[in-house]
Amino acid sequence: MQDKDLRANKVGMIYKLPDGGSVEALKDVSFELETGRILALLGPSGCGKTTLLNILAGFLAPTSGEATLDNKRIQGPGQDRGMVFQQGALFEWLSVAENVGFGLNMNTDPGEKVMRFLRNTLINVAYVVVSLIVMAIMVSLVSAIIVNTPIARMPLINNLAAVYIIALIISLAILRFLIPPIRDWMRANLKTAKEKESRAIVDGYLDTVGLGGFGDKAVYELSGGMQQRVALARCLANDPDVILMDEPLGALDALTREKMQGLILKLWKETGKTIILVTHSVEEALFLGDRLFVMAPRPGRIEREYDLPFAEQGLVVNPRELKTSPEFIEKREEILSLIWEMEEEIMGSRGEVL
Amino acid sequence: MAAETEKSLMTRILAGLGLTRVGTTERKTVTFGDGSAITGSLFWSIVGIVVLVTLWVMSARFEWTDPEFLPGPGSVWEKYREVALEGYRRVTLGEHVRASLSRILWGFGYGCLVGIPLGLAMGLSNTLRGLFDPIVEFFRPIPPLAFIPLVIIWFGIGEESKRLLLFLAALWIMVIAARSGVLGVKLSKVHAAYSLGSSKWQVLRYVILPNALPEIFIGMRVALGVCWGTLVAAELLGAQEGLGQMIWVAQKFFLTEIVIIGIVLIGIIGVAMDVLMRVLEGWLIPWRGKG
Ligand SMILES: Nc1ncnc2c1ncn2[C@@H]1O[C@H](COP(=O)(O)OP(=O)(O)O)[C@@H](O)[C@H]1O
Ligand SMILES: [Mg+2]
Repeated sequence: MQDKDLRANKVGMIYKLPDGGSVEALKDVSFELETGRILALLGPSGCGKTTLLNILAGFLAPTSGEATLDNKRIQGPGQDRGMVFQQGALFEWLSVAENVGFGLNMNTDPGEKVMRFLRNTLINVAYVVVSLIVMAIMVSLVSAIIVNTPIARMPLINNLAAVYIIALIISLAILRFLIPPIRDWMRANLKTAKEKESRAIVDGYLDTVGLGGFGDKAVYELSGGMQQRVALARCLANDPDVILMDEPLGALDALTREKMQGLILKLWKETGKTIILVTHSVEEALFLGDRLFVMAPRPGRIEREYDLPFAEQGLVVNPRELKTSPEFIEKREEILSLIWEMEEEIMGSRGEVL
Repeated sequence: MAAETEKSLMTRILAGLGLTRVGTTERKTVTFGDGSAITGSLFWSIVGIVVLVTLWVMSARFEWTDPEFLPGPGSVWEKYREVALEGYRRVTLGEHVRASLSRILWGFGYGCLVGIPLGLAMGLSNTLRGLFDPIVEFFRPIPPLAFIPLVIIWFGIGEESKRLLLFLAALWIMVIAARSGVLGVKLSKVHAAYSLGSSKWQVLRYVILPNALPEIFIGMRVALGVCWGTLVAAELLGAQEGLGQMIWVAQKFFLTEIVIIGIVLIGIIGVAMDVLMRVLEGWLIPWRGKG
């Protein structure tokens, strides 16, 4: 078979607790997701959505059953499955472009590695040479000036040491302004062919998510919504078969959230990727999922499945209109009451215990 | 119009001295108890220092205290000229400072060199964590000075003993800083890196290390401070040179001026090292606290 379908076959997950008890987070979860579909996972908290996603990503091994992608058993994390987390999974020590290009830089061949090592060595040597030249100039300048002033006769701790310390402080202040432009010039002009290539790819993906021109910014200079766009671009740049998203819009404000929903829909259509998206918003699940699983807790399982038309429609119809259309509202109410029943069951059973 | 600019100039001067509240703070009505509204006043800082120095000058001038116990600024300055230019017991002040600094750099440097990799390893491996955790946790609360007798028995009172003490002072701090730097990494960052195709080695190099850097740097600042504090006592173990040694010897001969010079220098150098570390931190780790 040539398809890249994602399958779960009676996947079960039982967490052992330190006190000897256990939690059945998933029980007999089976499904088949065809390539290029977008699946929304919806359910009350604690019904095993994150657990299921972690199993599909390969971060957790299920206690029973198995998950397969492209008919190969999922046994660990891999580049064929990308993950977008709620927030804070970006690398704040890297620039936006370096974040997006992270995956591209992980699989470099040895020749490229040697090239980069030599280039970096060259840059570091340049730093040292520039620093030494500046310091030498400063030391001779400072001592030449000091010799003819009363400072030379002042009881400093040690006149020679004082010259060096003063010269060093002045040098540092000069280098503070001298080094960054040198660094930027070398970074821009001493790129290997591979790096130029990957920067072009990165810029392409930044354009796709509407962040063209933000590549050299620091991650922490961006707003929450923009950071999630970076996370999406980072995932896309790696060209995975399946994209897993765990409440990617959960921490965003309502307006940003609606915009990002449109972006996810657009990317889904343009890239044709298989996407699984966890959410706790019924509206979001209906709008984005062309398939929808409503999950139930204790034990975590798929309670009901839907095939929905809204994601396809959302690409052509105004999202606001779509979300207020009678069919949409009807489905929303249906699913809301389903979830309410579950919540009541949970509360009821808890009431009995109390 | 003119009055207004004048007023704003006056306000700016007052604000510069910290005597009036500025920016959004000036609209705050509750300031007593609101730490963020308290900025410290340059004016009162100067007043504090001036009062202290004046008291010192007066007590010397009017002989409120015995000059043997508290010599005046004049005689301390005279002594300072003498020690700086000619030296005390034929060792100049510069040589004392150099000796102390080189001990600090040795102990601190090797403390980092051993402590950081050990701490990282303890954050990454079950075996190493199990192996070293009890040892580190046991030695951590023991003040380095408690090892002085043992160190003397083993190594005598030579240079090695002092350096070993400083090494021990830095070691545990660096181990714990590096360990908690590793443990503090957000799981989603590690997961993201693996999903993007990183090997274990790449996760360490590109995620865990940069993520632990801020904590390692804080550890280095603390370790440097503790080493500096341990130094004076470590130099008790007899030495030819060193600031600590200088004040101990001076004390035996009741040379209070030299003791004061030593204490002030130790304070100034300690502050300078901390300022340097803070500048480096802002320079090297601009992402600190922005995760
Ligand atoms: N590491 C864990 N150890 C023990 N129990 C866990 C662990 N992770 C999750 N659980 C439990 O498994 C169930 C499902 O959790 P999770 O997958 O996070 O649900 P969701 O993402 O749908 O809120 C919950 O009852 C939770 O308490
Ligand atoms: Mg969850």
